[in-house]
Amino acid sequence: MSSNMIMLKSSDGASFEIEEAAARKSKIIANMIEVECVDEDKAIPLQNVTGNILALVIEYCNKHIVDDDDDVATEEASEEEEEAKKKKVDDWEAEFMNSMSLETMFELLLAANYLNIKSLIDLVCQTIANNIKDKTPEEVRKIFSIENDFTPEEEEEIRKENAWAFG
Amino acid sequence: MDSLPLHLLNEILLRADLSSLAMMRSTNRSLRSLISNDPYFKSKYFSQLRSGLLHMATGGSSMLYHHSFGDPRSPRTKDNLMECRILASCSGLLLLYLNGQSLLCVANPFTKKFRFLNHIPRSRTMDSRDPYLNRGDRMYIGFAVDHIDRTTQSFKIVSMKEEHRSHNLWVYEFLINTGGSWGLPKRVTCYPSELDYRMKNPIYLNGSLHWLRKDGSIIVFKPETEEARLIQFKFPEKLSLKTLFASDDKNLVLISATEDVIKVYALENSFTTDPKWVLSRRIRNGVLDKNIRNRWNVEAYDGKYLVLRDYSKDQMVHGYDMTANKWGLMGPGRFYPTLDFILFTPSSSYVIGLDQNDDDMVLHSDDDDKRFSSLSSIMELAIGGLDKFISPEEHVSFG
Repeated sequence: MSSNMIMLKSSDGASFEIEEAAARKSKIIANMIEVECVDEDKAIPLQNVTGNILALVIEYCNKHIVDDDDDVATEEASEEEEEAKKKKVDDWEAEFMNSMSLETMFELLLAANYLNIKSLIDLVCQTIANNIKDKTPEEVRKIFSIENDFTPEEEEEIRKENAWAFG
Repeated sequence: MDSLPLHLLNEILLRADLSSLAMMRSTNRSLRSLISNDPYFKSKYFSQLRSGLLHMATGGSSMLYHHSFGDPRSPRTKDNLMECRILASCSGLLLLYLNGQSLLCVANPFTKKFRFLNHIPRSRTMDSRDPYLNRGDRMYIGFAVDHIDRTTQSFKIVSMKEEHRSHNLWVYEFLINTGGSWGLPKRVTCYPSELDYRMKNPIYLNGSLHWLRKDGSIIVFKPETEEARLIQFKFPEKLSLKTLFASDDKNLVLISATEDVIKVYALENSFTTDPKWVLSRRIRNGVLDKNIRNRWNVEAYDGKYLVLRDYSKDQMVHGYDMTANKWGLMGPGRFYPTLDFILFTPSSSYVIGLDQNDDDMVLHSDDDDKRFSSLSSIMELAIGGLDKFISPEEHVSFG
């Protein structure tokens, strides 16, 4: 491979090799590379990300680095081609997100946040937002670990608002 | 799962649809306060929100449709409602009328707050036995919603009546209801001219309700001061028969449409001595089938969207996005020639007088039950819930 490879190390000790261009999707890692904190022989330790989540992050970054290259190469592409390409990426993202549990989505979101990968944050947030559709407040409290701290009076008010909505 | 950092939760909520957001309000105090009161969150969420379009048969129906701009799955629908009408929409509130029960209802579909008003003056009930009001009674009901501050709204309903005292003297009478009972009538005397039927309902703008008359004059009534006056205008020249009286955020607007071009006239200098209609925008029409032969109309406009309906055999509803400058199909309408189209933009503001239903909430009969469940369905539909037309496989399921 032509581009530089760098090593990432997860919190549970797993090492991953990744192309520098893909790793630069993460603003944090990109910054580290800029200020030359990266020793070529040493893995970058990522204390907040476990190996299985880091594998997903890398899968995402690898996929999108290819797409970014395409963008540069085909600036003249027709509208249809652009649309077809966008659809391909959308399909891949849908498949990618569909394959994971909600628990994993939250972990992936926290990792994307820690590594500062904007497009991945957007993707995971949108998927979670789509997933809370048609849920009841009780189900959502469980999903988000939200504490129900309403007073009995407020509970009553809410029960009235929702008397038919979630029946 | 450990709890999510607040900014990530915000990111999720900003991407949630309205009905999900309404549901999230019911999970926890801080979320409720964030969604209803946080000015930053509210302005960010509601500024990206598109208006929805509600329609149902003029005269009332038990079936309501909701079109979303840019959503190919439109429209959503709900039937088996108690027969009702949507009279008006203003600043996130809907004004409904329940046929057969002579009840008005003001509702905020997002916060699920509502209030029934059952004191319509007898002579003004919108009953089908009253031929005068049956013809186009939305024209006579004004709905005024004001922002008291960034998170609080108040509303007033104005019922207007036209009395022909003599052949050259007409009297307009106004009654106001602010959530309780109807006040004393206020009157203004004018020379005769009928209300212009190209006005679907009076337009509330800058604290006043506006009624358009056939001679181009406008009756202006200010609910706050209870003052009415008549302003003379000349219509723009060559106004099409397919014209709609509406408003954007700032001005009263006349939309004059032909099959080729749609002209938007804004009323400028309305506070000076020389107000006039000024052509502010030309939009290429061209979305209608050439064989439709006049069977179409301009149905709604709110400054952001313009809605055309084709009621030939295709029955399509077309929406023009005024910001993106493009047409989009909003899905099939109904064959019915007379439909009320209401553009609705939700709001999460607290509305004074809408949460005092404690006594009314006790269900007494099947009718009450049906009334509340109908209202609940309408509110859910208005914010894009009740996904009746979405097939189960389109939902992403939890892993």
